[in-house]
Amino acid sequence: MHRLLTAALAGLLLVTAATAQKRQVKLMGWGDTTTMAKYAILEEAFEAANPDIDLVVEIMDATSYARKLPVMIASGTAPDLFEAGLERAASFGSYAEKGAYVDLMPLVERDGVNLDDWFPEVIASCYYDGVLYNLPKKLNSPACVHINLDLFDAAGIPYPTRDWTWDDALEMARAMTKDFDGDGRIDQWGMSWPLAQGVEPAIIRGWQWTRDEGRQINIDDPLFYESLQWMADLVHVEHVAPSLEETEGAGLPGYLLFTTGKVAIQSGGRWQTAIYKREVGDRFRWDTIWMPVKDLSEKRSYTIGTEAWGIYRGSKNIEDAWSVLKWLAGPGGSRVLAGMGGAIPAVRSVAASPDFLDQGPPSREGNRWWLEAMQHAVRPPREPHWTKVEQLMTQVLKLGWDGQRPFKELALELKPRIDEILQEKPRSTPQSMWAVALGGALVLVLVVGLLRHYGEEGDGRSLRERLRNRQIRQEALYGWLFIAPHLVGLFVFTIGAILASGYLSLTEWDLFGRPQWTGLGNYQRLWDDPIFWKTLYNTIYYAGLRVPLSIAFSLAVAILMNLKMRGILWWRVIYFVPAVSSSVAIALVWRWIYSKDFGLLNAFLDWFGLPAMSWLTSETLAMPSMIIMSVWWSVGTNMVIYLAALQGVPDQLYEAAEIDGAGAWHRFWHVTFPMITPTTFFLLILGTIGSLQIFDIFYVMTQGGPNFATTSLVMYIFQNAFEYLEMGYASAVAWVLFAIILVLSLIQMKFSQWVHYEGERE
Amino acid sequence: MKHGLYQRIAVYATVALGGLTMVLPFVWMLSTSLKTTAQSMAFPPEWIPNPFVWENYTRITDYMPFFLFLYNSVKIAFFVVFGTLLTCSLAGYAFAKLRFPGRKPLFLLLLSTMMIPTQVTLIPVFVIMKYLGWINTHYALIVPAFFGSVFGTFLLRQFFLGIPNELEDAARIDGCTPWSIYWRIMLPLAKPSLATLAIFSFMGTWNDFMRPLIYLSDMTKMTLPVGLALLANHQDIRIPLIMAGALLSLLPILVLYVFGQKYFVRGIALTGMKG
Repeated sequence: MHRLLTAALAGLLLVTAATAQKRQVKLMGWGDTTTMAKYAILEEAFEAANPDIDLVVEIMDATSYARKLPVMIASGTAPDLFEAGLERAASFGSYAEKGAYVDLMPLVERDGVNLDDWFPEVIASCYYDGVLYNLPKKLNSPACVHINLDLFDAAGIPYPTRDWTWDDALEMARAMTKDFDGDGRIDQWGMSWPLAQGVEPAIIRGWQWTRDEGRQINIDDPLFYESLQWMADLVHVEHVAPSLEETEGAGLPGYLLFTTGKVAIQSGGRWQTAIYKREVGDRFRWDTIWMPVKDLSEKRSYTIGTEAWGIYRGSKNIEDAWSVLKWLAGPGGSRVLAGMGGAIPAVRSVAASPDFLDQGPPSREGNRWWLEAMQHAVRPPREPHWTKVEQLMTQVLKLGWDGQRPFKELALELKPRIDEILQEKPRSTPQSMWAVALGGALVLVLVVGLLRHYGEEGDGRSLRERLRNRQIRQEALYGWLFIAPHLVGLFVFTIGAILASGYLSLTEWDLFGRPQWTGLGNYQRLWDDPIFWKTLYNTIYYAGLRVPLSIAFSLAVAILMNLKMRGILWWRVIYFVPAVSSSVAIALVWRWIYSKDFGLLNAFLDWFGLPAMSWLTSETLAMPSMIIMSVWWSVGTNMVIYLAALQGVPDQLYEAAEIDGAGAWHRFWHVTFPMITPTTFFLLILGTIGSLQIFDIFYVMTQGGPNFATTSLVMYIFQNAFEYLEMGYASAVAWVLFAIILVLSLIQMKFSQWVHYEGERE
Repeated sequence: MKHGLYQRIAVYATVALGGLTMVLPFVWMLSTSLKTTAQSMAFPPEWIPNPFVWENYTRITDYMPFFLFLYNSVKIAFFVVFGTLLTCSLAGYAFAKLRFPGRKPLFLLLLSTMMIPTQVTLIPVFVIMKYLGWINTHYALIVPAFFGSVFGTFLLRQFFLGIPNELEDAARIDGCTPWSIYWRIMLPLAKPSLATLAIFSFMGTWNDFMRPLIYLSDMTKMTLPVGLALLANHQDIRIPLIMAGALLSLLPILVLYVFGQKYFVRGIALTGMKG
């Protein structure tokens, strides 16, 4: 046994020594599980060539990545190498602005790296303010259409060419949309246009994002809303394409119908070719072409995105990170990536080689077009507030995609709101600390006063007199020692934090540099912020319905559970299961239950001959859906508390009532109900306080959509703080929440006794 | 109270129907987790997987380091529970039984901070962690527990108040210091209350979503709920896999619940709050 232990220890040491020899470089990027698989191959290829470096890659979905990285940069925990979208202001520009990158030029010159290896326009966008910060990974474009050649053959329709129009596309789609078994449900769709395509149908027709030097968004241009409307109408008017809910509902990938051979024409990003290679295999033949235009005479343009990597300035291993970057961005890495499909190489020699061109599908011809499209590339604007603009557009335009409202109306409504964001000037007023100092002093005086006031009470002897006695002194010492950890927590993590939060709410701060004093500016902004009011309304709506419903249901359940029946204990266990389950697991399964086309709930409706409902995607239904789920979730909790209260009602009362000839209803209404009123009140207040803080399930199930219909106050705090890095504004919203909860707590305190003194030592 | 047969049947049917509603989502989760992707999208839905795809459970590890997430969750929960019990029992005992200047006002102050929602202190605490260099470490999630929870201190103080003073006085005459009274007499007596608090803080930590979401960014450091939510965000992940992951993440707490029911129930009954 002893020997075994020694051997194990020695083995452990050896392993540690072996891994210590390898120097670790961490790289972070976004993507999906296909991306992970790609990186695994890249890692292997790299480590084969560089055995002394251990490359560790972490891939997140794009949204989480965009959310995490700024916080990581701000807190000095970013990985050695990380990916950025060069054209996106919220990505490359803002990282560079915050000094996140190492200047690559000295390294490039030292090692004689030839920048002409890459397409010149791509290298050009790797600069920020004249400094080279990134090297390109690949090019991408969302302006793609993937076609299932087998379905075209089966319908006897010639394949579309690069010169095809809306009318051609619609005609083809009509011919290939089929209900084979005649059950009224479409079995094969002509087309499918996932949300990710967004504004692309407008861009391809030459639409520009902004005008007036970036001060105005261009969405009131008919080119914009007409093109989007055409896409949405394919679903809601022409019925040749499945709804978003069918393609992307419940977190399904938008292309699933295509890879299972049920869609003939599927729009999608160039990056999807890699997924299709993996998923479709030999099941059918397919190719990739461009999106159609309304009129062939129209000027064309394409969104081309460049993904690139840079080295984190705070990296402890810049030299090894550079070795990795050099290889990944260079011909070596580029060739491996190209071979897996998806990427358009940024390295010229690779783009011209069979490693890219002949990895079909897509066909050699199709791939050539992509290189040509680069000549007509448009880049989304690099406005400082672009993240917010995009989020607002996604939320509001969702209603158009769902066919709930016409795009023209939405666009005109959105325009002033976006223009306001675009024209917003960063406020800067001199920082003044005196108000904070004053506030701090005031609180200090209050605390000391409180201590003195109560400290004198309840004890006749003076402090000094008491301290004279050794034993009393010892007891006091132990007392302070015992509460010391908690006191530190109280003064640092609670009182200190709340003061700091109050101070931050009077400033503007993005975690970099020092907070800028703005006085009541944040509260003013709050007052004028329609999204804030909407989130406040949502939160109150949610709490206002969830709490009473949950209380009513759980009281009913508790009364049933209180009956003396066989096996009732087991039922109690069952009713309580949701209450112990994690919110994320529950949110995930309910998201699936609520799915419009595959969900359990709509299956029940269907069973009764009722039409399917858009539980989570309709603006009016999303919140009620959340409430239903939350009631289900919280019934167990409230039931347990009610059970305890019901068991506390003395039997004599019931007996007396029965002798008086009271019926069951009468007994409930005149005996049970009054006796459990304190419990009901307790549940009402505490339930409301809890509901006002709701975050998890909204975050997982709807991300706050559609059109902010399920964004709660806490979600809004989270978004402002950790997505837009607006710590000041987020703190102001938090203080509003604080004020509401404070009022509720005071009501609660007034009507119940929390502090008991019996048995306490005097 | 007597009930007629029909009445009893009606009551039992109602209870059963309600109970079914409670477990149905979990059964659905299990059923979906064993299906093929194609079958998971059949309409109307089918309850029995055909074929049973047990591989879904092993395939999760291809997409996320499930066991690492599990280890992180267990590790964080263990230290949080330990820290909470230690600090709260010390403070709870002191506030209940030891006499020292400032005891009452400090306790009142402590209690009044119960009204402060965690979201208000979220940002400043994040900033503190940033200055400590603890962003993206487990310290950010563990260390605050060692500075106590108001609820825990309150709960244990209430318990210690119920212990007769005579017991303590006798120990004191024997020359015991407050520490040895706490350690040898009070803690063993408080076992049921400690268990309740332990379960309660375990549940809170195990299911916590927001704080790990904010603090952790390395995949290798994430806890189960955050890792799972991240996995579910991937565009090309399959529903049966997500359901398998969700179910696996529920298992530990469900097992614990079945064995420690009464503590769970007591913990919830005492706060009346969750989420």
